[in-house]
Amino acid sequence: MTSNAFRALADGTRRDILTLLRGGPLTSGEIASRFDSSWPTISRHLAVLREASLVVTERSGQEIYYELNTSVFQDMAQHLMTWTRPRLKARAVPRRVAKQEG
Amino acid sequence: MSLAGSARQMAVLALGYTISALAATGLFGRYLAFSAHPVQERLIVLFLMPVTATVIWRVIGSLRRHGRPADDEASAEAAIDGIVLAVLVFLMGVHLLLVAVLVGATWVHPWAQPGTAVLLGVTTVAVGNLLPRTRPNMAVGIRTARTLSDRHLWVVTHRVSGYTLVLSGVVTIYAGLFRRGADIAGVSVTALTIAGVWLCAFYWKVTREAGPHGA
Repeated sequence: MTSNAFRALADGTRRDILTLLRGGPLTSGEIASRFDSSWPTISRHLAVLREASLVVTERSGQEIYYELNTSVFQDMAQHLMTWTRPRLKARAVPRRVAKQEG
Repeated sequence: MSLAGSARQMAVLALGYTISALAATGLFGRYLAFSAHPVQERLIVLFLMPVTATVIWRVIGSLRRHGRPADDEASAEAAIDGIVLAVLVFLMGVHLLLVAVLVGATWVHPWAQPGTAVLLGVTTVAVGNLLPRTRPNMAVGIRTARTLSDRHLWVVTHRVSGYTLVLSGVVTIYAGLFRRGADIAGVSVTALTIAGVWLCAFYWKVTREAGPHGA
């Protein structure tokens, strides 16, 4: 797996986009409508995912659909990161608070 | 087929032919278990795997030219390149073990069966890992009228197939590493058979849910 893929998977929103695409291909507008972030932000995330070959585009008439293109190992890495990240965050927060208090 | 992918595949084939040629000539030929047999027989046995691999490689290469072009074809092409390479590496790995046994490398004997199982498992994992990245094509994958005409059905089927193959590959590697004798074949064949039956059932289910063909 390339470093591009790891970098792309490191972001929570991008992992959420990949999870969303498991249901089938979606346009960037449809993906953006499921998130609080603006459309340009989601579009940037999609560009990162596409650069890492984690998603591919398929033109259908006027629309461009984004489609999941992860390998099995990349899927596993995504799941692993989703499971471990909240714990890392939970561990990091008290440390930051402790620093401020100190 | 990408240039780099093709070069890697050809390198693996060239390695296979080199091993065969070395075993056929004076360098290792005199150690051959059947060196007294007619030369044609020796050549057929020694070159069987490389020739089979070349035929598979040529047939897949020819079928790939009939694929449907997609917007982002490079990724799917790279996945097919990787799958073909994994199959060729498997065939040449088995070939290497076979030739080693034939030229009388006795230390290989105990490793031949577990080695083949591990090679098969690693190949199954490699193929399964890349399978979800393929798109409808004539060369690699579950190519039915339904999957070839319905891109979404292809994607769903091959994602599940990928997971199934990786799992059965891991079981096969386990069998090669930690089981002995007839157990190796028993566990490997059982894992691959269960994977095959499960995939057939899954395919039947998704095609039923998708409705009649052409509807």
